Order: sequence, then C-alpha cells, then structure tokens
Amino acid sequence: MTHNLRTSLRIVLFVSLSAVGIMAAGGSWRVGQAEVSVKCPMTIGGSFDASTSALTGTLTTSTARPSALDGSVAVDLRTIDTGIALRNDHLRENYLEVDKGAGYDQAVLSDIVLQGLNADAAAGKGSFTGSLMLHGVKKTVTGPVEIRQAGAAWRVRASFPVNLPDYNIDKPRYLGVGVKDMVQVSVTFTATQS
Amino acid sequence: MTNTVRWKVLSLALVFLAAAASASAEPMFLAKQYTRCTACHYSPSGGGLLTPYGRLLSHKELSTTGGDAAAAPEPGNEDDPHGEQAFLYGALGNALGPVHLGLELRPAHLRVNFPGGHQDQNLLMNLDLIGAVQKNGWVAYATAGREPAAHGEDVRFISYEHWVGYQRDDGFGIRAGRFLPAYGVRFADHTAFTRAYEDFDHADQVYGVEVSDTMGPSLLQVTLGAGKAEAFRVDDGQQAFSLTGRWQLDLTPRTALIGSAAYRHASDLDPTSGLIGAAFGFAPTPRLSIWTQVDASLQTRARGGHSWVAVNETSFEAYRGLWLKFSPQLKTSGGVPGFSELRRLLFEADLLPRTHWNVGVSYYHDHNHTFEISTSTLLAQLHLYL
Repeated sequence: MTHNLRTSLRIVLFVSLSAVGIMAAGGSWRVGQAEVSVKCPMTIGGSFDASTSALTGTLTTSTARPSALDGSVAVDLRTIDTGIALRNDHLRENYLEVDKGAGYDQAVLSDIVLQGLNADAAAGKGSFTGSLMLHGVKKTVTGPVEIRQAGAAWRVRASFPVNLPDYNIDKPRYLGVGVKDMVQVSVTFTATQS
Repeated sequence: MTNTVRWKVLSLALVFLAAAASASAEPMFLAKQYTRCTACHYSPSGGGLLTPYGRLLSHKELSTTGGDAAAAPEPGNEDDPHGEQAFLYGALGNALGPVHLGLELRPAHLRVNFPGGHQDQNLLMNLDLIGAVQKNGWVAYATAGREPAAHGEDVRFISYEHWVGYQRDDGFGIRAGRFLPAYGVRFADHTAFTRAYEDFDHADQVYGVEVSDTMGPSLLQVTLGAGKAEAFRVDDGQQAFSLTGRWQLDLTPRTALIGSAAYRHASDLDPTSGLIGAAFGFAPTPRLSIWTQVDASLQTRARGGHSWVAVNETSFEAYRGLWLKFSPQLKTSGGVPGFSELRRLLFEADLLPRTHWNVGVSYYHDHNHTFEISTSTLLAQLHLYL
C-alpha cells in the first residue's frame, strides 16, 4: 500500500467518524424554516407555482442503513397557495380533497434513502428515493438532493416529479384550462438538531 | 410654428383619435402567474374576446368587488353561460349554445394639449360584437363593429379579426384568417411605441397563417402574411408579404423572455423592412409586474435607416382591482436628419370595480426631442365589456 493511499484512507476514516459525530450522535434533526413549491404546467401553456411553508417533521439517521433516514416530513395541504383564491379552493377541495378523510390533508414523505451521499456526512449533491403518501396513495418518488451546512443547521434542497394520476387525483380542469399530469415539487428546508 | 412642425404635433395627437383595439391583452397579469395570452383570451396573440375562464378570472380575482362571495360554475360546467361573468350577465342562458359572445363599448373623453392650444373630444372608441365557438380544439372567431371616424373619414363597418384555428393537446396550433401577428409584448395600449410605430396598431392585422408550438416552457409562433388586411380592402399600395416570428420562454411562472423578428417585403409605397427585438418581463411580487421591450427597426434603403424603440411598462396593483401604470417610451433614429426622436412618459390608473366595466385614466406626456415640442394628452375611458 502506498503512502498516498494510506493517507487517503486515514482522511476518509477521519471525515466519516467526524460526520457521524456531528449528525448521528445527536440522532434526530427537526425541519425548521421551509418552502415547498409545486410547479404546475398548464394545458394552455405556461405554468404556476403552488407553494407553502408549512413543512414539519423530524428525520433521524438510521442505525441499520447509513444512507437511510428514519422519520418523515409532512406538508399541510390546506395551506398551499396558488395566488388565486378560486384556484386554491379547487385545488384543496376538488382535487386534493383535503376533507375526504384522515391523512388527505397532508402529503408525507418517509423512508428516505440518500444516494451518492452518506447520511452521516451529508453535505454535497446526490439523489434520494422516498415514499410519498398523497391523496391516500403511497408511491416511491426520486429526485436530486443537495445538502449544505449552514452554521449549526443543514440546508436541504430536493425536488421530484409527481404524476397526479398515480395518486388517483382527478385531472384538474376548469373552464377549458387545466394542469398537466406531471408536476414538479421543489422542497427547501433547514434542519436543526433536536 | 411651421406647418411641418404643426403637422407633426397634430399627428402625435391624432394617434389617440384612431380607434382603440378591441378588448386588450394585459401583460400586467404576469404578476398573477399568467405568462400566456391564451389563459384568458381566445386569440393566441392576445386581446379580444375573453374565454369563459378569462371572464371568470376577471370577475373572481381581478375585480375590486368580485371575490369570494361571487358564485362560480362548478368544475365540469365548462360552458355554463350563467353568473355575472357571462355575456349580458347570463341573461340569454343556454340560448346561444356553444357560441360565446362579447359586446365591447369604450366611450372616452380626450383632451390634447399642444403648443398654442388644446383639443377636446368625446368619442366612442369601440363598438364591437365579438363571437367565438370553441369545440374539440377548434376555434372560430370573428369581430364585427364600427370603426370610428378619423382623419375626416366616415364611420364604417369593420371586422378587425376573423379567423379559424386549431390547437392540439400536444401544443401544436394553426390558425388562418385576419389577425394581428404575434410579436413581442402586446401592450394593452395600442399607441405604445412598440405597437403604433411598428405596424401592430389597432387595424394592422394581416391575412395570413400562423403556426405555433408549445414545447415545455417555450412557445414559438410564426406568421406568414399575404399582406395587411386593410391594404387588401382599400388597395392603398401597401400590400406586401410579411413573415413574423415570436419565441417566448417562461423562465419561471413570473418571469418571461421573448424574442421576436419580422420581415416585410417592399410594397408600392414602403421599402423592405425588418424588425428584431427582445422583451423581458418579471413580477417580483404578486402585485408588481415589469415589462421591457426593445426593438431595432431595419430598412434596406437609406431613407428611414435604422431606428430603435424601447418601451417599459411597470404595473402595480395598489388595491385589489386598482392598477397603477408607469411607462417610459423612446423612439430614436440615432440623430438621422429628418427623423424625430420621440420620448413619452405615460401614467395610467385602471380601476376594475366589476366584471363588465372598467375605468381608465391615462396621462401622456410626449416630447419630440428633435423639434423640442411637447404635447400632453389626457384620456379618460369607460370600458364596457358585456
């Protein structure tokens, strides 16, 4: 084994242990300031953003799988705002059906697994998979994720596409104007140790 | 004041005496995340009859006294012609079947102040009946109305637009007939320098074919025109082939970039000419939109040379349904002898109290920098959209 290789292995080991010390030692991380934005392309061209800051949850590094995060993050769907009151009403009541039953008023992302990143040393860019529970249907989603350290907190930015018919959501259509099936969800939040 | 100068001053004023375009497109609604004209209008190039969605939006979201209490059709009632937003307040019910109508009237008062005097005029800028039928992607669209008397001419019948279009779900569209070619931003004010001086004024429609395609956040529109429609009617020597292209990229739901180009072949009276320009619009808040368009006008002959036109329009919703606009505008030929440099400052207040009527007050300060002459124009108009 060359000197350089030995040195590299020492550095990797040191960084890994340090990261474990930073993230895993505390165990769980609480979602703080957040912004969730859903880009909705319209059937007549153009798009609009539906957004909310009502994201809550706690994530814990998994002891079983270093790249996995236990816990979940949830969006309060009653707070999603499209900038147009009538569109908000239709989105919440007719398509997301937030009053239909338990759990319909939230979108919950769980079973998160990071790829290309280690949950113990998470800073950097990679991808993730997770289970999205929306409108009573649970499906796997995947997309890019970027994690940066911001002081004592972590800044997380992730995005993933959602195909509305997969979640048994009716095609949003009103007076000839509608939203296409595929929307793009972007999530940004800070995570602080709880 | 020499006769030439007096004529130029009056020409500026007479811009306002020409008829206004029919129901105007409103780029200011970029602030509400509407980047495309077709969200609210039948016409892909904006303006004219509002779709049922556009009418409902004007009622529920844009009017001062619309709002949450207003009844809206349930999803699925696509053509329900009831409610305040419908034609004649829905008085005709389903009698018109799939036909959607709009009646537009625009009584106005105009006061033009120029060196040595002023001119007052009450006028009916618009009186147009507009109809559209939309079914299975097809749209048939026509206007019929009167063109107000201007330049000593008699009032006459005119159909500003009549065309048939087809729009596929995948974004491809085509239309043929008489319409205004898509170019840059279609500002609501037809006297905006980018419209009045670039042949996109109220009666500058062409007979032609437009092909469009929506590709993700992009929209491409290409119009092949056989010539200006009015040139066919009166054979005024201005009939000439034209080609116009417009590409729009929605960077975000509140940010759009537009590139445009136009080519007009020589007519008996005009040389070959071309336009190329870019526009950028963004809305930093849900109440503020800022559009800027800059065009270069190219002519092959020495006469005319190159000129530049720049228009900025900043719109702010001070209160629900009350929009304040500020628009500096410039047209310059770079000091070429015989061509004026024109500057304009426009201040405007648009009040949209209810679906079927708006009030607009505009103040224009126009300055001919070449001749150091200024005019000011006050235009008050009641816009009835029944």
